[in-house]
Amino acid sequence: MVTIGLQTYSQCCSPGNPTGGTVNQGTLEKKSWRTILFYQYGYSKGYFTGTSASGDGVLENAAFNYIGGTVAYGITHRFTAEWSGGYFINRKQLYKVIPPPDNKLSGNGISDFVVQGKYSWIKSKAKQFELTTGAGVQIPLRSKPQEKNGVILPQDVQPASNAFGFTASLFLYKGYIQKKTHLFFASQFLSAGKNDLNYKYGDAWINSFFVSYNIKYPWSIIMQVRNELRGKDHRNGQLINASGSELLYLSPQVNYNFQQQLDVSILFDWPVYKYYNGTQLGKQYNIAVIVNRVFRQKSKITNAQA
Amino acid sequence: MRIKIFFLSTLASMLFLASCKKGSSEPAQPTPFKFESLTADATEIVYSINPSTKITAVATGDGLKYYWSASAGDILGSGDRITYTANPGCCGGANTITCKVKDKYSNVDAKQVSINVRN
Repeated sequence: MVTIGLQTYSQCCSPGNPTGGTVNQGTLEKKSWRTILFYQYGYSKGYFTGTSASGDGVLENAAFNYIGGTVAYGITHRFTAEWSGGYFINRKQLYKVIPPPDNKLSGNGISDFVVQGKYSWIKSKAKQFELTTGAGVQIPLRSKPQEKNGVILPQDVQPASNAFGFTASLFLYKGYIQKKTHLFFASQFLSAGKNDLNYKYGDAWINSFFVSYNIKYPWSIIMQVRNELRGKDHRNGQLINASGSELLYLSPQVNYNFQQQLDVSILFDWPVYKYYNGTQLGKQYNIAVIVNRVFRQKSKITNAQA
Repeated sequence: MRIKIFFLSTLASMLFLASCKKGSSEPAQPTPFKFESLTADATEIVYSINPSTKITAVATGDGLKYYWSASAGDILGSGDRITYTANPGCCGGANTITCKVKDKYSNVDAKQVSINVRN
């Protein structure tokens, strides 16, 4: 199983809302189910202007802990429906300009919900090739921003974008079974409206290329190269200059398959190239643990190998 | 029978007398609710010098609760005195901080203060 960057909707320090872990996966067989559960930790520290490390800012660091999941169902051989959501255990910022105990802010709660459909235009087991496109909507499960102790939290630590949005995706797969190698390309576009704080995240376009290799059953490894382009945010109709970025990640992933029923993966996201508009807190890394299981028709319990 | 009646009536009298609080008087008058002022230690933040300022709400009333929001920037702390911090990248220019005060009788009032943020 391969996994695109799980936390992909982000500006500044703590990312916005995860998009779920299946943009990298194609459609299911008819009447099959797929469930994905993941935990992700992300950490940001140090300010950047453009590609250069810049001077001090108000934040010491920022981090988040998130659990998310996806349930997918193969309605037909070519069409799959998916539901994704999650929960921020916390999304926090530590301020360096304020003494304790008031030097931190932390939000937590349910994040946005995404419903999408995927359709395979080409799907050939014999040729080990798939071309799938998808579209979906982001649905906020809360409209009002979170507040703690009478203070409305800033957008960067809110657990959800609180805005409706839409997504579109493209997925390409080519397998080389004899060589135990599989190639994937995934592209995803995300756009959301403004929320009750009159805040609108910039549009995001994420492109990923993966190579997976079966070392020896039950182990496989995956290397992902991912480019994330994010447009600038808006607040009260005004463009926020210190927002928007372009990041290039290298993401190695190790996968273990349990008795052909369950895949467990560990993934490390490392941004090797960072460009930030204005001055922003820079992403350092993400770590994720993912569990994936597919339930096939007629009680056959197998699991798709990457 | 007469003894029983006498005993019960005595007991009832004692209970009645015990329920009367010593020195009881009329209920306390609620404190009048008034949101006096909302002031910032600095109405302009020069980010390179000091990116934050304190803002204080002064109000009178019973069971006061304070609710804070900002058009941009971050609010730290809670209660009647908070710290507002910002950076020009996200919040340059004039930003409005709103404080709403509510007492336990649901009386509410709000005030705003403007903080100018620059490099």
